[in-house]
Amino acid sequence: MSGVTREASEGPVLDVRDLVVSFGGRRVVDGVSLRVAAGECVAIVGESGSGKSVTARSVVGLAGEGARVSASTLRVAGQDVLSLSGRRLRRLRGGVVGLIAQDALVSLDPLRPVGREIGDTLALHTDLDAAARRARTVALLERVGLPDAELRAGQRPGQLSGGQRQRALIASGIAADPRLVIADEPTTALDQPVQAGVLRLLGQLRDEGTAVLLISHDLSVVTGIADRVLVMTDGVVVEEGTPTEVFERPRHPYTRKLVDAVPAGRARGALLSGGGAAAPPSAADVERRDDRSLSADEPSNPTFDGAGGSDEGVLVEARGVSRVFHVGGREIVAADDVSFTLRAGRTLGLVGESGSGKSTTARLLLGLEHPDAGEVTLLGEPWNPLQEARRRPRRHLIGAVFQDALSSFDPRWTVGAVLADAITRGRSLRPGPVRTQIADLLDTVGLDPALAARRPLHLSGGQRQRVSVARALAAEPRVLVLDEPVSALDVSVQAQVLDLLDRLQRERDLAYLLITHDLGVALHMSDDLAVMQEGRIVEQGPASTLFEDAEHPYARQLRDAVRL
Amino acid sequence: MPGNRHWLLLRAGGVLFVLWAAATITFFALRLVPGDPAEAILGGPGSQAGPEALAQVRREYGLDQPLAVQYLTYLGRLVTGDLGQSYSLHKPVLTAIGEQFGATLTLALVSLALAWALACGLAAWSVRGGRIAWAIGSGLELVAAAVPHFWLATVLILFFSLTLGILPPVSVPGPLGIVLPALTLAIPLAGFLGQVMRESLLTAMESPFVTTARARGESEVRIFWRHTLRHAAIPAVGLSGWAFGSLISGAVVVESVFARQGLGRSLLSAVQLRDVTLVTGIVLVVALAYAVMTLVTDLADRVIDPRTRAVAE
Repeated sequence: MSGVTREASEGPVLDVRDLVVSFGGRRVVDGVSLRVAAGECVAIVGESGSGKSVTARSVVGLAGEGARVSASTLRVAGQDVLSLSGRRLRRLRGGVVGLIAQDALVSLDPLRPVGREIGDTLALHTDLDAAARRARTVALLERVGLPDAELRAGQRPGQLSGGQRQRALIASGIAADPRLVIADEPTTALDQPVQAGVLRLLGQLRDEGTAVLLISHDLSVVTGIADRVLVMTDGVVVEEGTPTEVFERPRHPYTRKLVDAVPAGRARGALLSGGGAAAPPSAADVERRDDRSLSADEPSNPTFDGAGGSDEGVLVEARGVSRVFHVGGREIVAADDVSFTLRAGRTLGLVGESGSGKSTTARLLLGLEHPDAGEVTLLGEPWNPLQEARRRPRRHLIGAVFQDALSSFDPRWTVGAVLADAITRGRSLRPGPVRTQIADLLDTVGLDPALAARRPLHLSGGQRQRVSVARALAAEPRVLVLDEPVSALDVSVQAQVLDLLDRLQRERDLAYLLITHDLGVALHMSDDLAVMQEGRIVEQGPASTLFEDAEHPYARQLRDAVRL
Repeated sequence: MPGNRHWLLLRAGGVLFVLWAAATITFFALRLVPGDPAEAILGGPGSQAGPEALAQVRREYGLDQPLAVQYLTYLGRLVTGDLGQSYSLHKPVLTAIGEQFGATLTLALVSLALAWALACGLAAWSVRGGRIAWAIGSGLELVAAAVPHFWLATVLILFFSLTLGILPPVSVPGPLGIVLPALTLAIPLAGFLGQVMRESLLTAMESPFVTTARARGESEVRIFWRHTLRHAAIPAVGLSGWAFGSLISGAVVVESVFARQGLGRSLLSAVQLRDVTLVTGIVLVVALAYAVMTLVTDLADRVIDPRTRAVAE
């Protein structure tokens, strides 16, 4: 065993050549080669279905049930993975290779304390006794940056925050000091500052001499940490190089598409999908955008109350809105003295970590939640609080698009039925005009009108989100609430949906309230930004300058996370 | 944990409510049955008791009082633990039940344990054995869940007692005597439990945390015992409270077929003899056992799935 390790320490820790993985005759990974040396971080970037996760899992023989794996070389620390038997493969897993999966809420057993999961790795791969394992577990949790490690070790994943449990999952992956760490989407579903912390931790591991294989769909995640990047699509590596080479001088068209799709750092109104630089925006667009940035720069007052001094284009005004929830005798202030204005043709981006009150604010705006104090007006008239019966005639003026399009549709309804329901709003209309309107709506959101006959389950994620946009438009609203509208989508699809939303706003002069945890999306889409923390808006102002003169520590933290 | 005590008190209150409801429903339901209870006490309609004897019995048992007074007296006695006298057995109901309760409780618990073992084994085997094992497993469960107790009892007697001759056809004292009655009750229950378990076992086995456990180097056996079984057990444990109740009602049939002593047989004969106090007493004891068992399964659920505690607090 020691001879094998010594021999391996000279070559790469992971050496994969011509890896082919197929499921029932379908090739999911087709001839992938990659090497990761000790102290190096290699990232595989690709969208869902690109084969990146299967590639990573093949390394520990966990490609999945029914997978046929072959390769001319598949060696980890000098051991040929394909020829390893059950017991020796299990010594490799956890001992030599640590796998860190995404979403620790489900990747750690929800019924067991996280400390037990870490202790299990130690029990399998070390000779430590129970007391030593406990001490080691606490030390590991401290190492991954969990405060109160002793207490946390006794808590279950559901009792920890997203960042805490992701750190605990990393601790269970690195417990036995593996030489290779595979991190499969380790930061998905985490808020940006938390994400940055997890990435720093992985960088630290690499600096200590561990080989790191990072899998991600998000280009911006890997730029700061990876030494080399592989771009995968359809089971093939189409581009390989340093992050700078890949992102600044992409050679393959697919890479270019991916790079263009990243909203972070892209000007408001710039097209994210389709052709990138090849499709310059029209002169009128540019002019319009310039108008916008001018007006956005105008107010010097960072609280942004009554910006521009006029009521022009004001559709919605929230003044001092508060909402308190009583949960088990405790008071949770979900919205605390929240004030903002939505104007025609403009987007207010609402950012903040999960639980900061973004969604409650959206629900207050939609009239789904009763405010304990303050009020929301719509077109200058009272909106919330107001009796639902009096609100109903104007409900159609505010539409909403949610994150999970699939669960917001009745799965038994066809797309046409979903849209017809939104168009008629309970009125009885003649079927002919309704059908025409359905076709028009689908056309507006860039879908084939023939899709009206399909059910949501048979659509792709991007198509579904387009249908929810179409549904939101059906009632001809003036205001749209977009609650994490692209969070569940791949980057290139996300780019298309964002472009669609931007176009619709310009065509229809819509006011958007955009809720997102992704600062890149928020900065790209918003004219104005509001940062929420613990129910309060802690910073508010024009998107172009907000972070430059941010005073609140949380806003600064967010800013630093984007710059990573 | 303060949340635990609060929860337990609340649930104990729930048990008392169930008992009161059971007592009330039995009291009024038995009054709706045609026939004169006084006549029944004297030996049924065929006994041709004289009017004086009937009047005396009515006085003695308070049957001449208004219904509301009878009901309140009855509740008052229950609170003091007095279940009254059995007409048919000529002894206090509590004593009569005490003699029978142990046998039925043993039978129910053994059946429940047996059903769990069968369900676990079948589910674990059929989940891991590929498509054919899956089909066989679900087929067996369906058949097991569908067979009636009396038919199964007969088949088991024919096979084990008459053909093989290894087990007694009627219940004899000792551990051998309980095997066939317990199997009769356990097999259909195992079918139900197995169906629930197999689905949840499959869900658990496909969960990401199982991938994490595999990636940590755990063997499949350890993953089964440490992770998946626990997840799969949650719905089945919940079902066991209900199952225990059905086992006691199943005991009525099984105890008769195997001529086994127990509450089920006592209940049957008490109903036939219109022994109202005994029927009421047995119903109450069964309700109590049922409520306690539900409490126990809820408690077990809180141990297996700590998340339920978090919600309750």
